[in-house]
Amino acid sequence: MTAENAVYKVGHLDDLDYYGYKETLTGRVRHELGITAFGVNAWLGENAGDRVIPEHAEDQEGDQDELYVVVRGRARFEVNDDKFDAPPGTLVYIPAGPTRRTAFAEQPRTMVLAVGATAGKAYEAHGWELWGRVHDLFQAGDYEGVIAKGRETIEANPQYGMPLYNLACAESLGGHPDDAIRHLGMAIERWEGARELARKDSDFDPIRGEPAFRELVS
Amino acid sequence: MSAGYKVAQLDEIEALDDGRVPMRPVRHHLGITAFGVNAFIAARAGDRVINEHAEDQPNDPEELYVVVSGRARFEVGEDTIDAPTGTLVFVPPGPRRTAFAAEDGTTVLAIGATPGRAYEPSGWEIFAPLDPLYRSGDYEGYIERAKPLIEAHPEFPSALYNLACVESLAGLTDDAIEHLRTAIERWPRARELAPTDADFDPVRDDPRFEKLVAS
Repeated sequence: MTAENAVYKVGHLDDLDYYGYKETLTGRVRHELGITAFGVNAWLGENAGDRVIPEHAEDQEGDQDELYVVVRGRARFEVNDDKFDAPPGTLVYIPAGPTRRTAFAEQPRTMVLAVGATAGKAYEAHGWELWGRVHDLFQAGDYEGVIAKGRETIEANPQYGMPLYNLACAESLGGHPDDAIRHLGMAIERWEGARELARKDSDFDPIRGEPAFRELVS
Repeated sequence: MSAGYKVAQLDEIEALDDGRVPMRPVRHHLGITAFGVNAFIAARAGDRVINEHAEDQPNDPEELYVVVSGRARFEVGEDTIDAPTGTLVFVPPGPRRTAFAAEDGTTVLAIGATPGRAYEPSGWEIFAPLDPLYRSGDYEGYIERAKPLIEAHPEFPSALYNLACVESLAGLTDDAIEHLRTAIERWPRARELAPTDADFDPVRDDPRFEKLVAS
């Protein structure tokens, strides 16, 4: 990329395409702007009392150090056993580890920016932002809903292995073996770890006996 | 960090002033190691809020600018962009970019990392206040202040590279070669940068320099 043709992109926190994820609303800054070197998303609490950051820890292999920046409104963070008020300009930095964190909006339209990357590792975009759109449907067992709402976007962004893999899971569980095998194949092409995962993933039990599946994971 | 996390107020992080745009060193203050993040501040409308630069060296970062207060006017390449609070401007390595405050009290958060590479904190925030000495040609003043800072922060070998640059410009050839050698040992990128860095013009023909940057 040279200086002449490098592409910059402009967006606005209020213009992102927000969707529901684990009781929250999130906008995909990294994905929409095409950022590749770190993760960054916006989290929105529309009403006072709404959860604005999903409760979680970053305690798995490769999980991220995260910086939360309150950009608007007011949030109440809960980190382990601590609770604190977070007006605009508050920075909350939580390195990867067992620290549990969540936050709630104290004012309408509270906005928190979350930035993350894994220390000591080159950033790899797994595209969870695409999967996040249908995550709640998947958890509820609505596999047809996942396919209806997610397949088109996930197929349109084949650079990400993880959403393709998860789509294949939904298709396997939903009784669409051919689609599941096709999308698992695409996932493995882009993400070698998918092969290993698929071998042990019970979501693929419905298609485990298919010769095409056995060939993919061998 | 026994509590497992850190909290700060952006406005309470002491600003560093390198004679250009004042900056609150967020990454350094919080001890972040996985990506770069700093807040640049302009007190008055019309003040510059992002220094003009291009990120066009090998392995330079891609950068996301977030206007967190006030309003800025960005200039990227040939384009001008009005950027009220909440605007996101993402610039990959390459284009020249700068920004000016369009309102008093404008703050722009700059987040950066290099695609495909693990982030390495360079500690440039610590050494930025020395830049005016470098730019004004007060090389002796720079060297005097840089040496104790480097001793206090051995984790940032790029500072050794910059010290070597200044020593080269100051005519202290032996010191420049020695510090460039140590910088390369501890920070391989120094070898990529030195061959085209004009600061080394005074020592470029020294056989020891040629040997250091070869291979």
